[in-house]
Parts: sequence; C-alpha cells; structure tokens
Amino acid sequence: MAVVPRVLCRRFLQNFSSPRFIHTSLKVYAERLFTEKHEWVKLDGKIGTIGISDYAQEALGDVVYAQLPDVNTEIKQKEECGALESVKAASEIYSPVSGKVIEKNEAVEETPSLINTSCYDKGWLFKLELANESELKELMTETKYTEFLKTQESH
Amino acid sequence: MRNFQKITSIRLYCTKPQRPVAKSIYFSKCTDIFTNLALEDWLYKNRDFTNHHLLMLWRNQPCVVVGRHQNPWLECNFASLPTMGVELARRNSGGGTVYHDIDNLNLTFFTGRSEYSRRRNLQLISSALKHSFDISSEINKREDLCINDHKISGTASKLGRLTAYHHCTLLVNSNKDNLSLALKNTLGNVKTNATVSVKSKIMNLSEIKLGMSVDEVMEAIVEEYGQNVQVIESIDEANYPGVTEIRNTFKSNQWKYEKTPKFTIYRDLFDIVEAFLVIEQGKIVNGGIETKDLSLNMESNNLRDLSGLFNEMMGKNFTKEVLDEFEMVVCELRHNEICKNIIVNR
Repeated sequence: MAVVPRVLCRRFLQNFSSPRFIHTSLKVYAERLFTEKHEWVKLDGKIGTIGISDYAQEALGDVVYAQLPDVNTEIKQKEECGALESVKAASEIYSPVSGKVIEKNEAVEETPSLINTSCYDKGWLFKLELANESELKELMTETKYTEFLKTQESH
Repeated sequence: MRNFQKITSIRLYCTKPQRPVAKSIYFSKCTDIFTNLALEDWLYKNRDFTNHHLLMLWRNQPCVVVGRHQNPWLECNFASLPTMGVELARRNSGGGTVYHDIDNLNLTFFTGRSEYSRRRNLQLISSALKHSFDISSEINKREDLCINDHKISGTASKLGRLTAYHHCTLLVNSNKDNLSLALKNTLGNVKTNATVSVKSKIMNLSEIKLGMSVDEVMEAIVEEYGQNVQVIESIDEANYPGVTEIRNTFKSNQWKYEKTPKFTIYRDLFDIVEAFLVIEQGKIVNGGIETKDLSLNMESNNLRDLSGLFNEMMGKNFTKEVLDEFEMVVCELRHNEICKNIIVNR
C-alpha cells in the first residue's frame, strides 16, 4: 500500500508541472485542510487522508463505534460515508473531497477511542484517491480554520 | 491556557440563542415499525428543519428496535420473537435496544443541526408530565428521563450535516413482562465491538397514575409543544416519494442482520480450551478450538483436527439452527477423549 502514494505522487506532479501549481502545492499541501463541518484532509500526492478535527472530537465525546467506508467505495464530497457513535448519537461522516477509498483505519475500527486521543495522527479515518483536486480550493488552511472557530464562538 | 479551556467547553455545550422558528406536530396513524422508521428517515433526508422544527409522534405494534451499530442476536431473545409476535428492527440512530408496543409513545424531534438539544426536548416532556399530571421526572446523566431512578424513556439520536433528530420512547402502559422476555440475552459469552445496551430499571407512567393512556400523554405533550397536530393518515409514495424503498431497506435481512458488527461466540470446553465461532456480516466466517494457554501445542494434541467439526457451518447465515448446531458440536467436544487428555497431560 505504501508504494501507491509515491507512484501517484510522481504522476501527479508530471501532470501539473506548471511552476505556479507546484509553488502552491508545496505551500498548501504540506498541511491539513479543513471544512466548516470540522473534517480535515491531508494530502500526499493524489492520496488524501481524512479525519475529524479536535473541535469535532471534543464535541462528540467518547467515540464508542466507528463505521468507516469500505475500500473501493466511491465517495462524493459532502455525502454521508460512515458514522461515529458517541453517547447514543450516530454522527454521520462526510468526506471533504470526492474520490475512491483505498484504505480505512482498521485500528480505529478496533479502538474507536483513538479518535478522541489522537484525532490528527492515529485517529485518521480513511484514505482516498482524489477524484477532483479543484474541490480543495473550498477548504481552509489550519490558520483559517482556527480563525473560523473563533468566529463561531462569538455567535 | 486555563482560561481558553474554560471558554472552549462553554462554547461546546451551550445551545445557540433561541430565534423564532416555525413548529409543527405530526401524528402517524400507522403502527408498523418499518413504515414509521421509513417516514422518519424520509423526513430527515427530504426536509429542511433549519427554520421549521418538527415533532413526530408515533407508536408501533410490539417490536424490538436495536441501535444502528448493535448486535440483534445479543440484544434480544431473537429465537422467541416470532412466537411472541414481536418484530425485530434496526434503526439509524445510535444507542441501545428498546421495546415498543402500542402503549408506548415514540417522539422524534427534528431540528437543524445547530439547534439540536436532547436535554431541551426531554425537558419539554418532563414539563408536560408536571403540568398535566403533576408527575415529577428528572433527566439523568445519560440523558434518559427517569422517575426515582427508573427509566420511563430511552433516548437516541442521529446527527447529519444540516439536520439532526433526537427520538425517544415513553413508557405509558407497556407490557413489562413481554419487554423483559423480548430483551433477554440468550446468546451467552460473546466478544464484540458493537455498541452494547446499558440495562436499566424501567417503569410505566401508569404505575404512578393508574389507567394512564397514550392519548392523554400525547395531549399533554401537544399542549406543551404548542401546536396543532397534523394526522398522517397514510405513508405512501404520492406524499413521500421514495418511502417504499426506504421501508424495504429497513425490512431487509441485510439491514437487520448483516449490518451487525463482527462478533465471536465462545464456549468453554475445559478450563483452558474453548470453542469459538466468528460471525461477520451475518455469516459464519471462522470457527474452531483454541486454548487460552499459548504454550500448549495445538498440533501435537490433535486439537487442530477437531476444528474440522466446524467446517459444515462455514459460509452459512447465522440463525438459531446454526447456533444449535454449534452448541451440539460443543457438547460433543466436551465428551471427547482428545480434549480430556489435554487436561491429563498438562
């Protein structure tokens, strides 16, 4: 599985080799991108790793069950693709980007509390091969997301 | 840092200031669990509740309803349900297993995601009981409604991107004997990741006020919610296009059984040896004998050969018959010489 991202990464860079693109990709893709619904995606070439933010995990409370999308599932941006259960509530998982699932985090299925203890690292949910990179433009950088959380607070 | 944490926690748990929203009440005349679950899901998928909250009141013929990520074989007396005339259903929300019958009232509170508050909804029920019947109830830590530590209502919810719903039961005059029998676990020792129900002491409102009926309770809640009731006469395609397909899904074995998270049944053979059966997506995927003592050599003790006894079951759907077959093999193994010798040779 580890080989796939590197190969795709190379192809990705070949396809979009204009200097402007590389410039932005290096700057932006090195960090996590966030949605207003508190999901994050981290890119490695064309492979995106998806998870939920610290704000989201704290709001959920102790996660007791993680239902993640199966490998090869085609997911559309903002569509339901799984659920996290905590304190008798099933919260739907939405993907920040469209694509095909290439891996799900089985450790999280086994130990859902990883989402609470390590939402940005061991608690990632699934990885997908991006179908449409332009969707990334809608997402926020970590700095912007932090700003966004502050505006939410003042409401 | 300390200050920041404090602010964060306030932000997370306070609800937004109330703004004027329209409100409606539906009462479903239908008493079929699958149709009512389908209507609930249809409303969740097709309506926008941001500026218009909805309370749906509904009840069902006897049924057991398990949570979205639960194991029906573990949560209820699955083999006895058909003879009891009790349906089994799986809902879309989280939480544990409940029993419904016609003398139990279900309430679904639909709101926009940001106005979702289980506590506020339960408070409304609690106030209705106080105002109309002078019954005092409290909301416990698990957000269930209780009277003297006895649950009168079980809560669960589903949160989507824009819409959320909280639904709960309200025991008015349910048949408690049937409830206990239907929710009895007959599966024995099981290891699973599925959400497991928390057993609680329960009571009916009719135990406080003799002869209380669902109609009276409904009236009290309607008054508290402050709206006229719209009666849903029939849940059909003309009014709810696509609802039949949703109902078919709720009724399917695939949804009821195959959605069950993977689980393993264990039966002790001798002190360190046990038989196991693994069930994934409702089918037997593995079975055999294992020892709790890792130093014990399975090969030299011919234990591996005995595992062949389980081959017949592989790939079959997990049913009462297959469980009986497993119990018979277990019984046979308990009297098996090879198994007995393991104890002697240790």
